Amino acid sequence: MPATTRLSVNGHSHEVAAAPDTPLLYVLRNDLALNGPKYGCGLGECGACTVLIDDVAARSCVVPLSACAGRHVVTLEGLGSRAHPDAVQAAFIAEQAAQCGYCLNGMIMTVKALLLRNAHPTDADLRETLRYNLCRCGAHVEILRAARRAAGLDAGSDDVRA
Amino acid sequence: MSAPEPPEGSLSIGRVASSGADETFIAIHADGRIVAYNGHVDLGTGIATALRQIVAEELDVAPARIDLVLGDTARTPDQGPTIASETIQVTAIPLRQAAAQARHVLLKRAAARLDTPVAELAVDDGLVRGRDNHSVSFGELVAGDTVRLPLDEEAPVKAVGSYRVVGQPLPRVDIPAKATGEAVYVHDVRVPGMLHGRVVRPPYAGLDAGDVVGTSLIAVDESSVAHVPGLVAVVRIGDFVGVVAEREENAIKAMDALKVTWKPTPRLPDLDDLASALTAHPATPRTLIDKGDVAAALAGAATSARRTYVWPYQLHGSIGPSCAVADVRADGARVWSGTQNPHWMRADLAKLLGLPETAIELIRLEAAGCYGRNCADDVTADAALLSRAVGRPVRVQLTREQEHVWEPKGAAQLIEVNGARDADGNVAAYDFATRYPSNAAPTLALLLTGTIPSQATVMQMGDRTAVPPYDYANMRVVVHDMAPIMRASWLRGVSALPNTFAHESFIDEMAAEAGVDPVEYRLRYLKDPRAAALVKAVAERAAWTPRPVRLPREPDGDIVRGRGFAYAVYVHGTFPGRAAAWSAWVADVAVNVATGDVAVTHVTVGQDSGLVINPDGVRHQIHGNVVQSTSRVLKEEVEFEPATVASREWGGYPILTFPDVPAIDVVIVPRPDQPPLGVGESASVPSAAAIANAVFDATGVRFRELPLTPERVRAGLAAAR
Repeated sequence: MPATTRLSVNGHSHEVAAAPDTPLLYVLRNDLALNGPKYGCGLGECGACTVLIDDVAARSCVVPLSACAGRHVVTLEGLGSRAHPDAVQAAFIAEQAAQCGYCLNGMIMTVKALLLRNAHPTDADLRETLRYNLCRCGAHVEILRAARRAAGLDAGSDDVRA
Repeated sequence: MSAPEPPEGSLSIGRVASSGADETFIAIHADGRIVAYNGHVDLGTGIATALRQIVAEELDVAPARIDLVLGDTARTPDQGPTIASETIQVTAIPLRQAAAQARHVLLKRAAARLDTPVAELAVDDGLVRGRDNHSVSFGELVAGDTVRLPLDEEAPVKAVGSYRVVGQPLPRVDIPAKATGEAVYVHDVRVPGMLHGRVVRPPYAGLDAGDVVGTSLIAVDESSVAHVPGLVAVVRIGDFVGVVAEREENAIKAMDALKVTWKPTPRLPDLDDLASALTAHPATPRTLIDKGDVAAALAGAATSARRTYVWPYQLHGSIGPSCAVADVRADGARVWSGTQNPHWMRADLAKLLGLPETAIELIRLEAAGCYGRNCADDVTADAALLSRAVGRPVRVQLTREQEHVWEPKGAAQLIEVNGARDADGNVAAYDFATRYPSNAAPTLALLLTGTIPSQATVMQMGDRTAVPPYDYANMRVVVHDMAPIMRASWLRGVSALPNTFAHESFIDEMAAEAGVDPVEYRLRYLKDPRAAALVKAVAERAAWTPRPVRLPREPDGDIVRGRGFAYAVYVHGTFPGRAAAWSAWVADVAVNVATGDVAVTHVTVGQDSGLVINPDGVRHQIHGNVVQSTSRVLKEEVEFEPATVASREWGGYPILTFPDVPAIDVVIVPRPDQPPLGVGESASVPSAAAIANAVFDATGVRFRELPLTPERVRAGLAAAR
């Protein structure tokens, strides 16, 4: 058996037996059965696998398990649940901000991370922060509305533009 | 079917399919459950919500009360693949009938039970009320007896005027679970004893026909992966190669490390010059319409114009690479798949595994949006082969690179128009020819294992909206049916999007040369009153000002702005096909004449979708079509190397990002008295021409080849100087 790594995920401490170079994504999904983070590219390009590591957005497909030892990882499940959604999740639900929803995890976690470091972002900040999160269905309009709502801005009409 | 639960009894409505299978559309159970069945699947478009609204309306129950089963080969009717935006327009019809029929049966029973005439009964969320406030529930009405009725296609349905659920916005049923990580996509399926597999594809990426396919593997060196922990198997069957391991990251390590020797890969046809490649590719002409006397009109016209339009190869580009889980045993198989077409997929698996179709259960789960035929079927077959080899359930996900290079591409397309104007500026002749090298893209494992021959088949799919919506007196439309050059299959808008790029660019050019406003010019030839009404509504909403003559723009620094119009109706299915929703665009662009960057700043988009089931859902689809098609028009083009696909990840195939999303103003034309039409693709179809016409308005230069990359725009502007 490989050496074990101890990390905190969603407030719980876990001892994971996996090779230290294992991408965090596979540990979260396969060892901890957390479905929020998704494999999208394995290259850190699309953002579908985004989690918070010590409150900073990180692409778990390219973060090795060894880098997470002793750190606090939060996944989409750790923000809230259907019964008790986090404010960002609630904003995305209210604005119906998904089509297939595969990218949704990354959108929510990226907006969450932005709000943790900047409680009052502008619309331009939101667009720029989400620039490296890819959505293929074209749910961008609803996602931007949700991000604005989560940031306490007017969600705006469909044709609000920075 | 699900096991009966106490209290027993049910009412179900179905039919016997031509295959002999018993198919159920709706079942109402004594315990109050209402289960609706539809053979299509939700590709992320929200049909699971809209179908619930349709059933809820006819039955008078809350949408949330309805269990909806989609695309499950053991349980749902075979209604074909989820393509061509047909779910609401076509496959919802029997479901709606069944719900209406069930309501009639239940009300008749309730009338007897409550001793009240049917006309005096009221239904409120599945509770039937009679005189003196006596009531009985649907569950009570079906208790004790199991009744199955054949679908009555004549059962009266509700009048549209009495609708309470259909036509109202209803939040998507799936989003709360998706926003909290509680939804289970096919990627999230875990079954006991499940292993992880990966495939190793041959080097002839994107080729799915010819002698090399299925015959190129020389050797697999298993010692190259002996060091990988938890490796369970290396599997090879023909050119199909896969690895299976206990842990996913180790399956990936084995995939990366496996030494495989292949025969030399042939050079691909030269796809740098698409027009030449498509012209040289063998084809069979098929004339769709030949009206008036095109040859004579061309010969006698005042001016003529030959124009060539070129559409690039593009990716579906699902954000989640395809994934499936399979559990194959000697006597049967169960697979969890994200396929668009569960019943076709089951037939493919039966062929691949040598099992009868009835021994295979395919459970369809949601996947990443596919927009057409991606690798969802390929990976399902991959998982089946790997599971059979190891005798345990296996999950397989493709890599980003495998999805990019092997997905059946949205095909390149070449359209040639030979047109002419008379002395009064009218279109005197329109001779249109289109080439679309694409087919149904056979499931890869069938080809790699040699289960089916690797011969390219021809499908007649280049004809979508090939006949223009305009009533030109002398008109000929020819489709050159052809096999794929590279593996290709349907992508949103199919051939209608490129065909419309040509129709709508050409008419715009004719209008400009005739000195007539392009909207007014279109209306001269648009005989369909609903189309004309939509065109007018969109022009009005966008505050379109007539522009009979293009006035040179005063640049703001390096930026020039322009505005373009385009209209289309998306026609799909076997020619002459059927029309989905009508769509029209006014696009505003800002072109940087120094860098060549084109920004689409605002889109006014209108749609006539007939009766709208869920306005929010329709708006979602329109937004999605606008953003995705804008991305395709401005940025997207698959690149090739001599022997493979060069676009292997998002850096090599950029798509539109948040800062570049246009403002979108949606106009939904109310037509509640008309049947509902498909809305999944229509709003993409005018995109390319509207944007290219706007670029012309801004710069005075016509672009007839896409995408409108900065390099292409700079070159076009320089050539025009």
